[in-house]
Amino acid sequence: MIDHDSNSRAHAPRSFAQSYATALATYVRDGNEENLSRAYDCARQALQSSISIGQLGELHFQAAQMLCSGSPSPSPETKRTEEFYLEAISVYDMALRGYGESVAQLTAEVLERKRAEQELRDVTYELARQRDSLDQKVKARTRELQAGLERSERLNSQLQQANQEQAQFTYAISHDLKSPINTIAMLLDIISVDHQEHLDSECLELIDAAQATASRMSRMITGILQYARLVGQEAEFETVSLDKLCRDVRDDLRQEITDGKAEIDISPLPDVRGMPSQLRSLLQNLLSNAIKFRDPGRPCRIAVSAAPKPRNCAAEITVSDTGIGIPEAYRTRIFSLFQRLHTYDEYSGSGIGLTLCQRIAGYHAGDIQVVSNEQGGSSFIVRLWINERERDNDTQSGDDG
Amino acid sequence: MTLNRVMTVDDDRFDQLAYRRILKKTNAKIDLLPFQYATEALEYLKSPTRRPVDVILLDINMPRMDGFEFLEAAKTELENQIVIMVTTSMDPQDRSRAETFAPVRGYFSKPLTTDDISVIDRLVAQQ
Repeated sequence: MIDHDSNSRAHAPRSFAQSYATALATYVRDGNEENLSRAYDCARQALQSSISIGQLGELHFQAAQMLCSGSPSPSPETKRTEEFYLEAISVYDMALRGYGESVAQLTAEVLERKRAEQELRDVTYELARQRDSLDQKVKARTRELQAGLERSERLNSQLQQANQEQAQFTYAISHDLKSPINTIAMLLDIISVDHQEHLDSECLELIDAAQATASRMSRMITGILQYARLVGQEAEFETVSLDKLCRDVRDDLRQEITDGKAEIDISPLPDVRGMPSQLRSLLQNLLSNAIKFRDPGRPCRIAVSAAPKPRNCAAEITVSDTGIGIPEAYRTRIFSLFQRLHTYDEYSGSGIGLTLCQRIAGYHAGDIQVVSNEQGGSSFIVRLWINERERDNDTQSGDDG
Repeated sequence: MTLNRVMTVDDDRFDQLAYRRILKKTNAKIDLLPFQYATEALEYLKSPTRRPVDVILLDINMPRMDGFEFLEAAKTELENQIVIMVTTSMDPQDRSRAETFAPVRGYFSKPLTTDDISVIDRLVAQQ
């Protein structure tokens, strides 16, 4: 029989049916465990050959029928047949259970993968959301900055306009104030000169005081006019000879120099880029201050000099005097508008001059400072066109020698 | 008239003249203590020989030390002292700043009138 099935080997179910029938017959005939386990081997082979459990049942039924055809039933053979069949079926049972387990595992794997995918999607979504929100924040911030910039540009132009208007306003007001005060001065002149014989000494004294006040006001208005003109001025720079300018100013001050018995010594001064009218006004204020605040107890000597090689600016000019000096506590205040250190009885003045000087120095990217000198007088140091780097960091030590 | 002794702190000689004139007009025997520098007025207030004054008339814009700096510097000396600001300043900020100082009880524009003097006189009488 074994030889017989070599013809039908290609047809697995059939060859299998025969080997199954043989194994079954052997067990039914001889019994014993080893023969029973053949059922197990057969079934595994069947499973591998894709024989379904229904087919297995069918070929078992055929094999059993052939074995039992001559036997009375029920018999011990019938029992062994059933045992054999159950043994074979158990393989399918195990295979089914194994499949079930792998299905569960697969299901679990699928779930796990789905969970992982969901997680991935969540993370991706979160990233996208964060990127979007960041994007929006950046956009919002950009808009804010833009708005801020526009606002400050607007304010700046408003400020510039306000400055301009203020300067024009001050100029107009001052100009209009000048004529009435001049009229008052003239009227007082007429009274004191033409009607002198009708006035007693106290009366003349009061008129004198009124005249002094009127001329003080006139000077003050001139100062304000100068200041307003400066603030509203368009910046136009050219090369200016400070040396020539200073000597011109000294000539202008001839009367005051004579009155104060002053000596002004001018060392050679450099050329500098600047506005001639402003620099003239600067030197004029510093020199006339030096004469005005002279010390009555000693000769009035004024020296104008330039630092030979200024380290951190284009020009450094010093105006030194032998005057009354300025106490340390007032050295900042003197540069503020309308600030004075003396009553009008002691020294005339409007409290505008040094503010003007500071402003002029500022227009020339410079500054002005006051220190006391060895003679106990004051030294005003004007620096023009201070190096950008120096202005950014005043404490920095210069190394550009 | 309760005003008998008045300190005037004002750098302007003619403003001082105006105070004298109007105060003498209301009380010919009035005792006046004029200072053209606030620093000197402060020195006087700090000196042991100082004598009390009924009122201090104080200018704002003065050289070296202005009226506000004086009020600040003389805080202890000005306790229970009536101070009247007399100024040409039209800046409302000056006025509100003056009102932050406890001794300041009035704020008048220059020049003072006889009406102003009566107001000040009543203020002193109430004290």
